[in-house]
Amino acid sequence: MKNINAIISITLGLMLLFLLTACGSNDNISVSDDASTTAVHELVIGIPGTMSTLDVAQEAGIVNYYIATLVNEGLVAISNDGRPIPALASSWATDDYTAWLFNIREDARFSDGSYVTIEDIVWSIERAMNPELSPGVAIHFLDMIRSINIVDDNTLQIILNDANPNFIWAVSNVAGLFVTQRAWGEAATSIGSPGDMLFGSGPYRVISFNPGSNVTLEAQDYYWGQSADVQRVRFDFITDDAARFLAFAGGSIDFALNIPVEQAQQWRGVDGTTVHFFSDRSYYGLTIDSTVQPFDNHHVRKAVAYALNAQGIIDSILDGNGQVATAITPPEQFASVMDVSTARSLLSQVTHYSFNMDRAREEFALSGVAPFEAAISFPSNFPNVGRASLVLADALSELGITLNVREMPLEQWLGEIGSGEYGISWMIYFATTANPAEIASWLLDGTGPGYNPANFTNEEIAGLMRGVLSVSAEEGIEDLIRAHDIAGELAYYIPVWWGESAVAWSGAINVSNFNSFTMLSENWLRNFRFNN
Amino acid sequence: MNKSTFIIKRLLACFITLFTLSFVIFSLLFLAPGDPARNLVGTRRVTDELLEQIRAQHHLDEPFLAQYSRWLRGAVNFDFGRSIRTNMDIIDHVAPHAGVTFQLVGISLVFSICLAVPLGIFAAKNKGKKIDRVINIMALVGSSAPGFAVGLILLYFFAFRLRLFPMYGASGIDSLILPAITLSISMGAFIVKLTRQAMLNEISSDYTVFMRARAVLPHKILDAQLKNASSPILTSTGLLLAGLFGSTVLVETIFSIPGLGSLLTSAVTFRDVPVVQFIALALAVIICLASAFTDIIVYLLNPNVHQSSKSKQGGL
Repeated sequence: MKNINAIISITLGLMLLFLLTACGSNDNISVSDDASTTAVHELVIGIPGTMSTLDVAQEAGIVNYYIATLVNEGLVAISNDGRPIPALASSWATDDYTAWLFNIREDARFSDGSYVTIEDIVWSIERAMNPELSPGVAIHFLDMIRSINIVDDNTLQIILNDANPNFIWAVSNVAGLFVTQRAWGEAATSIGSPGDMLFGSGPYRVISFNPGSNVTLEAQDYYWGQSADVQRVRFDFITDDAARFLAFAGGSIDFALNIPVEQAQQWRGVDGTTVHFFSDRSYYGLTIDSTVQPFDNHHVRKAVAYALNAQGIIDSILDGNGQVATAITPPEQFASVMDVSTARSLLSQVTHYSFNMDRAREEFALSGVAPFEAAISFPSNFPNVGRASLVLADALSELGITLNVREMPLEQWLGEIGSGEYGISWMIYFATTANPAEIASWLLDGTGPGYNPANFTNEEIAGLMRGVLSVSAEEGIEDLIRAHDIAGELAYYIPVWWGESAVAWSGAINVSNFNSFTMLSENWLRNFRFNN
Repeated sequence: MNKSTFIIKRLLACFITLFTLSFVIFSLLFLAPGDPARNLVGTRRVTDELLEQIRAQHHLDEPFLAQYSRWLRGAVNFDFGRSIRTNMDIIDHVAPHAGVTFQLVGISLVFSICLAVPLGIFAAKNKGKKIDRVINIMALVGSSAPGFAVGLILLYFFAFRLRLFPMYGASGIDSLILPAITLSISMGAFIVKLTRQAMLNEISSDYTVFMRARAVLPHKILDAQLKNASSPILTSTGLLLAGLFGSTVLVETIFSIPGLGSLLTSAVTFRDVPVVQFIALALAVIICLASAFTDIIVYLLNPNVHQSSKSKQGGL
């Protein structure tokens, strides 16, 4: 018995020693462990998710964009209100929206001090255009560019196949272009990996990347533009919401993105915390595939639209944090051409069907369709969409329509978009550019099945959208709204809500003018300041 | 069966297991819904031409058998391809994640064995007493407590309240302690019960009675009991190792650890076939090796087990 006691005592003693040793190495988590530099006040941002590569060209997730816009520049960037502003191109001009001239900035330098050359820019555009090298962004250039010509050391001419006033967005770093040094890019075996972290001329450089764990950026000395108060920023990927809240309450992170709406009150309870809600320019709505029976029947589509209680969903599921969508494009998406209240007023006139169960019953009766069964799926990382699906299923059951709600991984759900297999499905769209026609250019391309996720064919809408995409954003507004109106009347899409997101920051920092463009805008860390 | 025949048979069985596993996983991923090319583009407008180009780049447009044989030829030459999601070489992509998980599993295993085996022995030696009941209750609670709840409770008290450990990430060995304890609790509880039962069998065995009757010293009796009880404990612990790898998915999520479990989950949902195949095979190799290693340890500790199985075979 003495032997057993001794074994247990020694074991417990060794374990305790191990634990104490481990505890002893726990430093303040917000201070960098990079021994090569002196203590730098570091901003720590808690991201609810993970990231495998820094390369937007490979993985075009929104978090990849947040980081890449700080490291790599495009020919243009966007301002905090979503307007295109000079970046590597100090100015640009076009007479016919086909031939574009860009004057390249002479003082732009990469983080190693070398100057950005026009060859670097051409190489980066050609890489972005190649779907094999850039599956994440090539779509912004597909069949668009006829030729790229170097006029002189500081002038680049890009000729397009067709006139395209929205081309300016393609060469921004909120869409398709992230300029890197040609020599570095050619030598890299896997851009965006820890071995070949991003290399650019933006205000920050990457100093460490641990896939799935964190990314640390440090201000670079050679940036041509105005620097920010934040010298170093670390993005920590925290996959569990409860753990992220504890990390925030414990002071381990300064700023948290996308806090769950239902937990906002809890976050507000942490001393000195600011919880900020803002429109994130997201669209949540139903896509009705008119090639799938019985949704080819206009009355069936209208019956579904009338049965959907958007305001009820926002009040009960989103805790009031969202706006009833009257069209597929949120009003904030028009910010670069008009003020948001004007856009909201215009969009409120777009045909849409407000909740009315009596009208829903009437429309279903007019359809002559017998009670039927359908399925709707939602991605598992959008639980609110799942709850909204259940609300819709409950309402449709009153019409005799059985709607089976299925939860699935995001990746599987993505594969179902526009597949033509399901009559009713969700569309969740987060716009990255400030182009008012960004969402409509896909959803309202009425050319036919395969061109839009609802697979509808409507020559009038298609014609209007062709017109919208061939003139400037300002000139195309009227046709854009008209296209929305026709699609709304035909109920190819049933808008449900325009999303709002919440962010939280601690008393250690102050964040100004935070909106949906902020974390994509030029040197967006200028909006962040330390309080001491 | 001589030693070399035994080793060859074991290796052959291992090879067949790995081949079958790779084929089954490849088939399941091929049949699973979803399109990796579409996943790369996200919820944006995409043309069929673009999707075709992406599929062709990753050979996703080839028939099933062509895809599988291409992968198999590469794997035989230790070329596991590139991740569809990140375009990184598979080994470069997986290695950092694997390192974290191996550390986590290793620490958990050490914690579990170091604590649970002595407790199991202690409980068995005190069968029916108050301490035995306490240990039994602890084991029951440990084996029933859900991992996510245990993880959050540990996180709250030791990381948030006491600030003894980091709250998330894998920044060092200290950041793996709480996740390792979370993993160890259920595994340790199982080992306690297993050890207790194995020791009770030995305590009530004939040879213990005879040794006591012959006034053999107590520590020598204990030595004999421990040797004999070690076989089922070690064998089961080897098997538990596989379960431990499976349990890391949940713990890695709670503690935001970029390990193999979370990488495997995201690779499966993304249908990143090369990554899934590589991780699954690597884990299978580890489990095969762990199983073989356990057999050898059991044999070294107690050669009589092997002898008795041989004599039984002869008798049949």
